[in-house]
Amino acid sequence: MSAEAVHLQFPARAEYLLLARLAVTGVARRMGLGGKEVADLKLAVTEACSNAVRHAYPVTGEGQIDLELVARDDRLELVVEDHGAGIRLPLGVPPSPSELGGMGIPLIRAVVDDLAIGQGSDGGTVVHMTKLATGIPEGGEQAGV
Amino acid sequence: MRDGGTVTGWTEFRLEEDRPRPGTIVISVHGDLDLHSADELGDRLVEAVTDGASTVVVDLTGVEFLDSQGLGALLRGTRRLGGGAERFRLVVPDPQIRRLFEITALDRVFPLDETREQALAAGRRAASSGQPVSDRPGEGMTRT
Repeated sequence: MSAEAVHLQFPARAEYLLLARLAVTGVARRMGLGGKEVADLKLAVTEACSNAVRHAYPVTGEGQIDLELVARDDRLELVVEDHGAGIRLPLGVPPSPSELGGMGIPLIRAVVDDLAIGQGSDGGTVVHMTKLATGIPEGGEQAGV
Repeated sequence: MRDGGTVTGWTEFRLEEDRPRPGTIVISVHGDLDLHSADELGDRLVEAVTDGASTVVVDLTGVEFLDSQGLGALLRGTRRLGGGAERFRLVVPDPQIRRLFEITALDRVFPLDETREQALAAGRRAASSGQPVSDRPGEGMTRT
């Protein structure tokens, strides 16, 4: 299985959310994903990065977000990692919505095929999302969507 | 500000306001509505209600991206307006944007219309009757 990876690091500030969306859009388009899948990926990466912006660095307000995009034959993996306060939860235990941005996590779950939230080596939060390349042509999504 | 316009493929966030009749404010949103811009919209909605608007229409036709922070700003607006969500109407013609309201079940909170004209007509009925107005066949958006 072939894989191409893109790694981006940017300040954990709201004005950089657009940059994250542009990066995901570029990689997804290169993979040939359709409009609905690209829209889902933009939403997922924004919600994950927004959580980092809002919660990761409560003391100084300054920090970095690492975004890794791994394009594989059948999927796109998105990893959003901060190096901040962490979510103070045991690994493997899904956080409740109130702990991670209200509607954000449910929205991510709705638009990606797999979601895992854990702790990085430095105690920050790692959000790992996977979107399968289903091959649905643009505009051919299910009725009602 | 109004001419922020398209910058290599995306639209700069901006709000435009129109008052088509006394007591009614239409706020048109353009660009990406996310954590970076949600507070500006939320503040504008509060201002609209503070200024005495009885009907607020938020036109999302020009929105290219919407996330939970944008939805939160809209929720704050409708709570501020009070007196029935029918006087707080959203114009949401884009299926991708509308899908967020369906995922979060907020399509049961916000009256959604496909065009500004439909939203204004429904808002006028609500204002004149003083009662909530239900979507009728051929008006607004079919919700399932």
